Amino acid sequence: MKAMENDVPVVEMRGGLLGFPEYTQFTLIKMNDEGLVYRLQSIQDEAINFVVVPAASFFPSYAPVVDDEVAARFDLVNGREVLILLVVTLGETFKDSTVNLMAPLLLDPNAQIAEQIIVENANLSVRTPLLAA
Amino acid sequence: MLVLSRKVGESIVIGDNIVVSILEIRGDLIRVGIDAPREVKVHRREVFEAIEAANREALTASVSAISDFASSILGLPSKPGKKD
Repeated sequence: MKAMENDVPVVEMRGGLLGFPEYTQFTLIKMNDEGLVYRLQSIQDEAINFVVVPAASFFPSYAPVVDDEVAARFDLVNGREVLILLVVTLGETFKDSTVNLMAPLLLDPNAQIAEQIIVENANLSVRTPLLAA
Repeated sequence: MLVLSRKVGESIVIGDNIVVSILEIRGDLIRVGIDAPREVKVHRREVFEAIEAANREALTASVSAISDFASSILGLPSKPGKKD
């Protein structure tokens, strides 16, 4: 898993984020030089923004288990590299911010497609503190 | 709501290409098999609702709040988290 270097101007979010099926076209904007924080903004409605962080930067041992159909859609069986992004819920302070480990985004930056998947690992929370306490 | 009674091994067809089968009943646990096309997402309802709720909470209208968050992360080591 390598770090993402650049913005991705157009991302097709297949199926949208759960609860937001109408927004399927996003742009991914790097928010700091280190590439630790990205903003995912709807191209259709710029008031629709999500904060995402690369899983590898914050949870290096995170190993989402995906079903065969997700693996096939992203061609993972042939070793194609995808980025795993976690959706952040901003808290009052950085320490109160949480991430959703149960439903990460898979992003293929070359094909510019992404999808919010539900992992098969047990006991992952949709509100995991971004920082260990 | 349509209500049907089924036995173990029996199925229900929904539309042209979705088949729901009752595989096993053990106490109050029922194992259900679902054959559906790839584009039909199938989830446990409580999981789906939890993720929808988390996404709604995560929706952030304020770009400046996101900028502040991105700045506040700079004072931290590059791999600040470990728990998962």
